[in-house]
Amino acid sequence: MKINEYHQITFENLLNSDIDLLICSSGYESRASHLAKQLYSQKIERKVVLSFNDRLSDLSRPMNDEYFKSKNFQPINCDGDLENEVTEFLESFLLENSKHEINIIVDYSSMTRIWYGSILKYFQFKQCATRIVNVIFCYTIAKYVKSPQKQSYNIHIGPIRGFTSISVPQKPTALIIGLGYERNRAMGLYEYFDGETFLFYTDDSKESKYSEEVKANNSEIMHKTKNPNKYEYPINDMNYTNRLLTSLCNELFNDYRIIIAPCGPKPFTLLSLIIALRYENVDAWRISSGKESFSIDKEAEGEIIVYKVSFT
Amino acid sequence: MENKTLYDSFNARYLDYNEIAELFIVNSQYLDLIKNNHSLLMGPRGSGKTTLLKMLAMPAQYFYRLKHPKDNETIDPPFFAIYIPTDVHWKKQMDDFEDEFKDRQAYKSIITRLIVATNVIISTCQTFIHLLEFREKTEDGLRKEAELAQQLIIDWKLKKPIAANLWSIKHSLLSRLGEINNHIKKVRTLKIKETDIEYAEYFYDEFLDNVTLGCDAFENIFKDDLYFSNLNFKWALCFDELEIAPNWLQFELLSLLRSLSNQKLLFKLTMVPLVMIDNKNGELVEITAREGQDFSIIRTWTYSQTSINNWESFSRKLIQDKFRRNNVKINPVTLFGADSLDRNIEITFSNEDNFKSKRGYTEGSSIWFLFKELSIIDSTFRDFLKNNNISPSNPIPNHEGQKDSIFRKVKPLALHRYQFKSHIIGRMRSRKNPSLYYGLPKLYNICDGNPRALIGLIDEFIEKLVIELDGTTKPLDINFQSRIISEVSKKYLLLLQNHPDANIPYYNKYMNLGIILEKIGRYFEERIIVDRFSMDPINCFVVDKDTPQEVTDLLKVAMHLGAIIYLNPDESVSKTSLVGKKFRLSYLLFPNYRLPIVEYNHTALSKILRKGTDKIDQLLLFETQ
Repeated sequence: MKINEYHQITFENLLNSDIDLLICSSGYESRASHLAKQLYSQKIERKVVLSFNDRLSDLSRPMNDEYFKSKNFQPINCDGDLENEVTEFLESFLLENSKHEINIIVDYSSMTRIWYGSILKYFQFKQCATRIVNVIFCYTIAKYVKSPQKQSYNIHIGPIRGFTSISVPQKPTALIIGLGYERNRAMGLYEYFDGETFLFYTDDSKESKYSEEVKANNSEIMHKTKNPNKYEYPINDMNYTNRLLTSLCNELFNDYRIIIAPCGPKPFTLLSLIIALRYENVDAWRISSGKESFSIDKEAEGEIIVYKVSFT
Repeated sequence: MENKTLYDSFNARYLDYNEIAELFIVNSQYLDLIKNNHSLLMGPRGSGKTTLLKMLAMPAQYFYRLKHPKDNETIDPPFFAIYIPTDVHWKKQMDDFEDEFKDRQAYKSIITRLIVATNVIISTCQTFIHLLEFREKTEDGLRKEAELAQQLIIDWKLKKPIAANLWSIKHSLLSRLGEINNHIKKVRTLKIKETDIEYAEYFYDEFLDNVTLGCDAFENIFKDDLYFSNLNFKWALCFDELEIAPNWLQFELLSLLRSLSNQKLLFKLTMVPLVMIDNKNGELVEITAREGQDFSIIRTWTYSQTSINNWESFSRKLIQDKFRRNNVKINPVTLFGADSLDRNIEITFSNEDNFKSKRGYTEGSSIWFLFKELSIIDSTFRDFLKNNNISPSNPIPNHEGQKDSIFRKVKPLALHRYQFKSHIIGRMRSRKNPSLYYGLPKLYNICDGNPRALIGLIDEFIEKLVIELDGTTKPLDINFQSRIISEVSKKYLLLLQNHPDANIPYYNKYMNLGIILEKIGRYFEERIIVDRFSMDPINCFVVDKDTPQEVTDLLKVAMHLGAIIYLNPDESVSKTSLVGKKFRLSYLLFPNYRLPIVEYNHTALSKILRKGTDKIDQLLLFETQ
């Protein structure tokens, strides 16, 4: 299979679809169960919840576990840094389900990128000529929470396996950073790659406090990057963001090897992974502080961003 | 480039050859590099290795001659240089691949060797393109190029049909990467057994064989060509940043320095200040090639008085050139002034009664005031003077010998201690707090032989200059200079703390390079500025055998980044890692700790790390929760 098309849909469109599988995740953020609650009355053939195997007592975790259990979600205990359990489950699901076209909803609001990335990768490389799989990625926007004051250090920096190709260093690197609000997360990258840097960050159309904090906590890299290399995007318009990002990549292909390093909101990360799968000269990289990152609760703000990716 | 400051101001890697030639200044390192022997060009990041290497290439030579037609100095190398790049992007891709296929050793080896070979022959092809680019296009020339292309298609096993020209060959080689990546995806997703994997014939090619075939073909076809007459068709393979290339490649190239039988090939390799290569078991290995016999070493940082003198000379030219291109019409010496301590002390004590603005060490001189005032607020300094039979209330040398042996030597220490303690006296009198970092050649020396750091530092000043319409500007106040340098020093430490390679796991926690550097810097600050006065303080360290391995690993990163400077380098390739080697912090970090820009004595690193506690690890680890 390969990615055939991808675009944003409305939550109402989602409600009008037949849902064969719903995959949620149970973690310490209270929004982890928000989508499941919105879909409570929908007919869903099968429901699973990927449960983090750590931080079992943190914040809203017990509440989420209880909710998913009460709604008969099949739990799958997973390590946030591993994809095996996710792909093994998908393999068994496809074997058991013989439908020609399948709709799978994935609530990735509280997932690690390894998990939702593995879902993308699994279907992209699955040898299966005659089926259509629609994976509908849902993201619940969180209410604003101030960024952690204590600085965390970057621990994991490198290609996300399956979203990278080997190149040769005959062309410079174009580094596209999706900024987040964690202080100085992106700072060390600038000097690391000896290339051209481009910044993507959310505009203030949805939450101005968040976008102001992003700019403040990344002031050094914002200062170093020339203005034409800075791009603002609305968090809830993924079609626009996709066009912006793809257009930039197209401009850069001839002269650069491209790295997209998403350090901010997950919708941008999702788009980065999709583009990296579609285009051989684009790598998606992971920049994170891994398991050492802080536990901060994120409550659902209300809006759910829905993005449909079809594999054929 | 807009808004460029320290460490992003100048990077030769992706400048075109015209830009490199525009900025290039011939120095002693370049003249050593163009000699007809294997060379190991060693230095930290930003010390000019890539610029030097790329200047060997034909296009850079061509553009340099255009810009300096009257330059009679022989800068032409007696070989054709093939520049072979590496970068961290590539390294991480290779590391990830090797990790993914760690259980398939044969497959891993074939693919990584193939990727290296592909990179090398693309570079070789590009070199051929450059060599033919500047000659007049004639029918005979085009015929020869086509003949070369046809030979390369055969020798390098390129897929046909393909047009017989070098650009098509380069394109075909780049397309090969798509085939290699598809091969990897197939093996990954279909989970093919290692014994069942099929490979195209070119998968087994070795880089040295490919280069040799290509260069031989070039020579055979062009040896009678007028454009290349009087040239002996010798080729230098210029591998840049070898320390981030695969381990096996580092070992093979270093071994070839001794064992290479092809007299037509030379190696010009760039590496970190001290090379350490592991074998498959993780043990450090020796190489058989010997410095002086099989290769020469060119070091790009300041580690001796000769290298310091060369660096100062080079820096003067570099900064003059930078000012000229930024239309700053002032001599750097006029702008920054001398780094004389007297200049600073005079400003500090100029309001004093009896201050006579005299040089030397007589009563009423600036040094006399400094020593006298310091002995009032620093009892240990007073004791020091007394122990040397110098009166604290009238600190003048008792004999000629003391001028050099004590007064001249103690001057910078006294000034730094005074600056630290002067807040005491500041409450009693209105006196300026002396600035510590300003003037020439101190601004050069603070950069430890690193052109990128120097350019970044000067850019910080240029950004803040008020330049008149006619290009003139006023000399810079020493307090202003000192403030800028202190800010730059802080930023540098922050950069190091946040560097992607600055953290390594230590059981279930992490160790950060910035914390280690801070620990070392604060230790020396206490010894020199706070503790009992000593004329022979310490501000260098030796990595001893009690230093934890994790700290040593981070210090290797520090050495690569130029954050620590390898002193008295007596080894180029070490089998004992950093143990036994002497280092100091980069001078650019010194302002964070108010240290004088001078090298003093050393102590064991484990002693520094253990200061204040018995357990090293509890000082160094960070948790982010």
